Amino acid sequence: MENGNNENKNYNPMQDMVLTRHGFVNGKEQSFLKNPKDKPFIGIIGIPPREVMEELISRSAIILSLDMYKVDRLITEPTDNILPKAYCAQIKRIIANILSVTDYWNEDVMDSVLVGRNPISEIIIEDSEICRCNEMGFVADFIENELKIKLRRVKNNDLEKKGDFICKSGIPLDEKFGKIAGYFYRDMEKKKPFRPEYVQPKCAFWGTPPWGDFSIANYFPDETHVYGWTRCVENLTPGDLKLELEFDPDIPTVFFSQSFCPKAGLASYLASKHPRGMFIDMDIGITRSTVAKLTAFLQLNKVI
Amino acid sequence: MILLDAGTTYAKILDTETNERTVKRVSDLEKTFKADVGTGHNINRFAKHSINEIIALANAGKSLIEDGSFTLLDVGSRDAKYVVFENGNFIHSDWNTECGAFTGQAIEILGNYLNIDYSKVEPQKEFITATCGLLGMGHVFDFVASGVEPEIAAARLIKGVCISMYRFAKKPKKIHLTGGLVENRLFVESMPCETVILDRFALLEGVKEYALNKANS
Ligand code: SF4
Repeated sequence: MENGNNENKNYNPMQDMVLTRHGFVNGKEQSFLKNPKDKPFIGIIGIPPREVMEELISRSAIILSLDMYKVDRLITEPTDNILPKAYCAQIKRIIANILSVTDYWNEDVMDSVLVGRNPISEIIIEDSEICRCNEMGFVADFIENELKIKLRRVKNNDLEKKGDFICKSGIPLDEKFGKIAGYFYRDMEKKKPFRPEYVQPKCAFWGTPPWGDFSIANYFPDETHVYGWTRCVENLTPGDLKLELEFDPDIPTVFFSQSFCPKAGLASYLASKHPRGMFIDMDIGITRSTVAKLTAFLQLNKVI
Repeated sequence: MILLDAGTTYAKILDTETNERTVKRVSDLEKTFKADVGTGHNINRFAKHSINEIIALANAGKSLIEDGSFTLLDVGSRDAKYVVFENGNFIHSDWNTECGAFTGQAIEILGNYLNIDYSKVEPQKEFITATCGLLGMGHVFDFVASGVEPEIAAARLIKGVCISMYRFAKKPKKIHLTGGLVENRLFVESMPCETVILDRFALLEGVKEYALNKANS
């Protein structure tokens, strides 16, 4: 898998997986998380700065990304009494993830490995405004006031650039999203960085990861470069707005945002500036018309 | 070959052998009807092969419009879509199915409800901002309740729809129009730019292009 030569095109590397400091793990392998009683069990939201992550590693913490936990199962029912229906799918995922790994909401939906038995001792929330939306402030209030979990708010002003090798490689787009999330952990643990080869692009995807439905990635060719906030994440500078605004005017580009995300304004504005850009937004689950719009755009631009 | 454009409300049918063209309500299509190739919202129920609506529109534009640079806008009852070509090259397209939707249907319902013959109404300068058909209708009823003539209120809504369609298509100098609303004179005359009318069968021309290319490949 490391070289990106994935023979089964239908395989989704993020399906049914949990993102931890140990990378994406699935199924039974999760059992290593079973009894971290001797270690602090910390949830993170967003990309905390290097300094904070290093401190966690020095404490041998078990770290669980609450953004990415159960990436492919966006189960939002538990948020129904907390958030309105018309709300960002990713915030719903974060809240549902927190509820699923704490005592607050239990067993039946998520597997019981983590539920209840190993409640999170602390949640660190990166709340750098520019990186994400200020909805994070609401998530923080909810954690503090309703769940009474110890909360630490941090800002990420890291500027050391780690590059965009994955974004500009030829590995399938859905794997790019997974590898970029994993890259963050590899870097912290000082593992050899994953540096797939550069590929000449046929088109580009600009935006946040498509939290509401990763299957949208399957419509893009492997030669898709990634821009926008996802690229900032690989670069480990999630607050670098200048980098986020960049695009390549020479290749057809899909400017994506989650529905109800403030970044939609930026995405549609940049799409209007791009000579061959198209803006699309998506809530939970890709719709027939979005697929038709996207595939027509890619076909008419001779990308697929 | 029987080609079909099955929109939300109307089905347009073209028999390529006899060149016969028919328009029916989708609800009047026989359950057993199966076109050879088609496009549109309801296509999967009624055709053996379907083609993406935007691709059909792009093909239609290339085959029906001589100039290689054009904007072709299709305003149907449920949605609107456009393609832009420059010197024969595809530039943009978009399709609104959610925001701004159901405007065509709203105009038809409103006409029937208020008994308006749109061909006898003059275009208005003032307009109602029509985010979607439903909100637009609400505004029309408010105007009528405040004493504005129903024809004038409806014409303001149509002007609003035209302005939002014009903006949606990125404000071109000239728009080629197709779709159900091209038969509404008031709609066409309310467009804030030069218009060229292609009839409502234009999309089928795009389907034909596709079917012929497929047959030859
Ligand atoms: S997708 Fe947008 S609204 Fe949702 S969490 Fe990310 S930045 Fe915020």
